[in-house]
Amino acid sequence: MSSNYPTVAPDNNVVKKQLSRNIAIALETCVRCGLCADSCHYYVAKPLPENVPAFRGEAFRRSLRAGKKANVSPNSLAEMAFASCTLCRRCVVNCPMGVDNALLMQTARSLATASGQAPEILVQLADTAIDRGDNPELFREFFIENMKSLEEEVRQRTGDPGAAIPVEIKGADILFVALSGAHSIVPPAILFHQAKVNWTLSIFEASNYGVFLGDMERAKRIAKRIIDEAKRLEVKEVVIGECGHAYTTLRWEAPKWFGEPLPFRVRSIIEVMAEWIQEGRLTFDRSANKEAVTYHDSCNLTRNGGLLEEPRIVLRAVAEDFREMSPNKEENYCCGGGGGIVAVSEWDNRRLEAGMPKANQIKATGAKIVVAACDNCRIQLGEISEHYGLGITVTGLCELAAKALVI
Amino acid sequence: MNEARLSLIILLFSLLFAVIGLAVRIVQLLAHPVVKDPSRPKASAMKGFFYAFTIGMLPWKKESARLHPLVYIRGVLFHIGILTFIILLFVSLFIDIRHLSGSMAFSPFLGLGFIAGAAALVARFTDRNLRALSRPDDYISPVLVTLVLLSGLAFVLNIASRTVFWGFVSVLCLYLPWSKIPHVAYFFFSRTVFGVLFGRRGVLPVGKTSR
Repeated sequence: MSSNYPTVAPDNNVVKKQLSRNIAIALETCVRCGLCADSCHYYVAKPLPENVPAFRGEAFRRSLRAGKKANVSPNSLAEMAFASCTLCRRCVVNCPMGVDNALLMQTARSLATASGQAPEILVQLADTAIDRGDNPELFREFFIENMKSLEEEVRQRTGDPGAAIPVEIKGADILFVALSGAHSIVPPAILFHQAKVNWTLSIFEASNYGVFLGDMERAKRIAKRIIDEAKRLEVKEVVIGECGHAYTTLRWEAPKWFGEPLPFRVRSIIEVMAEWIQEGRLTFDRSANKEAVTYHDSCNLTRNGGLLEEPRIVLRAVAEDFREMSPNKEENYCCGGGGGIVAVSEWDNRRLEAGMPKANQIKATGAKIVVAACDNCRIQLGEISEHYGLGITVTGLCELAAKALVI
Repeated sequence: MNEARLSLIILLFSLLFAVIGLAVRIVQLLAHPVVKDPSRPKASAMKGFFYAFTIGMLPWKKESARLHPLVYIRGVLFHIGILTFIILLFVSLFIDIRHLSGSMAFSPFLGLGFIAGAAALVARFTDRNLRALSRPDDYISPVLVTLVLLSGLAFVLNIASRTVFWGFVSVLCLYLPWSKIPHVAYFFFSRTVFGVLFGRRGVLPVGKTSR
C-alpha cells in the first residue's frame, strides 16, 4: 500500500477502551473494493487515492497492526482523521458491506487526541466548555443580563411587551439549549413565545467539542452539564437548537456513554417546530419568503440524526418556493465543514476545496437562499459561497420561520 | 492409498482447517465488548435490519452501484460463481458429477464467475485507487478463488480431473483463515450493525429520496 499517511504508533490503552464490537466489525469487514470513493466529498472534489474512505480506513488498520513497531510520524494520523474526514457517514450508507469508516476515523481521532496530536483549538474549545460547566457561577449573572438585552429584540419582533427569554426556570416543560449568539436564541424565543409553551433557556451552549476530538471523557463532561441542569430544573424535555452534532450527541450518543436512557426527552428545535405546524399551533405567511429557497441537510441532523422529513415540513410551511438539492436526505453531500474542521484554520484551503460538491449542488438549484439548521454548516456554506462565487444568503430554519410567522 | 483417496483426505483436512480458522476469527470478533444503546429509538431497528438485507442491497438503492453498474454486475456474477462452486464441491464429494445428465448446467455460472474474477483482478492491478489501498491478500484471495472457479469449470467440462479441482479447493481452504474471505461471515454482522443503527434512528428504510 503506497501511503501518504505514515503510520503512527497507537496508544494501546486508548485502543482497548474504544475497541467495541462495532469498531472491530468495521475494522475486519472492509474488502477494499473502493466503491466508497465517489461517496466522499473529499474524493469528488479531488479524486486522489488518499481521499477514498477505504484508503483512510486501511491506513488506520495498518497503524493498529503495526503498533509500536510503526514509524511514528507526528500529526499524520491526526491529519488523516481530523482534516480528511468529516465523519459524515455518506460512505457508510453507500458501502455494499455497510462498513462504518466514520467510526474508524472517530477512533483514530481518539488515538490522536490521546497522544497529543489533536488540533489545539478543538482541545481549547472543549476545555473551555468543561470549565464553564465546573464554574457556572462565574458567568451566570452576566449571561442573564445578556439575555435581558436580547429580550428587547424578541419584544420588538413579536410586538408583545410581555415576551421574555426565561433563563433556568425550575419546572419549565422545555429546556432549550442554544448555541452562542443571538441568532441561535432570538428566533427560537419568538417561536416559543408564539406557540405559548412553558420553556426556559439553558445557560450552557449546546456544542460539544469533546465529540469532535473523539475524547469520550471530555465529551461526557460537556454533555453532563446539560443533563444535570435539566435534572435540576425538572424539565420534561430538552430541545436542542440548530446544531447538528449537538443534537446527535445528546439524542443518540450520550445515553450510550452513561449506560442508561436520559430521564427526559431530547428533541431538536426542528422536530418541535414541525410538530407545532402539524398541530396548527403556528401560522405562517409564506409570502414573507418569496425567493427560491433550498435546504442543506446537515449530516449530523439527517444521516446521523434521522431528521429527514421534519425540516421539509417546516420549509413547505414557511417558504413559497422550496427546491430540493440533488441528492438530498440520507444521500446528501457533506458541506465540508463538519467534524469540527470549520474551527481549524490551518485546514481552511482543504475545507473549501472539499466544499466543491456542495457548491455545485447549490448552483444546480438556482436558489439564492440556502437554509441550514447547523451553525458549522452555515459558516462553511457562507465561505464556499464566497470561494465559488455563489452569491447566496445562508440562513437558519428558525430565522426563516420567524420571518414568516403570523403574529 | 490411491490418488483419489489421498486428495479426498487432503480436501477434508483443508475444509476442517478452514472451518476452524473461520470459527476462531468469528469468536475473536465477537469477543469484543458490545456497547449497549439505551437511547430511545425514533423508528424500528428491525425494519432497518430487514431493509439492510433486502431492498437496501438492490443496485438502485446505492449510489455506489448506480454509478458503477458493471462493477456491481461483476460482483454478483463472481459471487454466483462461488456459490456454484460450493454446490459443485459438495456434490463432488459423493458422486462423479460428470456422469450426471445436466452437470453442464454448472458451467455457465462457473465460467461467468471466472470471467468476473479475472476482470476484478485486472481492475485490482490497473485501477489507481485499488492499487493504492490494496494489501497483498487483495491479490492473493481473488487469484485463488478465480483459479478454483477455473478448475471447477475444467472439471465439469471434463478437461481436468476431480483431483485437480479438489487440489485448488484445498489450497484455498488452507489459506482462508488468513485471508479476507471471512467477509462472507462478517458481511452479516456489518449489515446488521448498519441496519439496526440507521433503522432505530429513522434513516432506514430509505423513503423518497431526490437524486
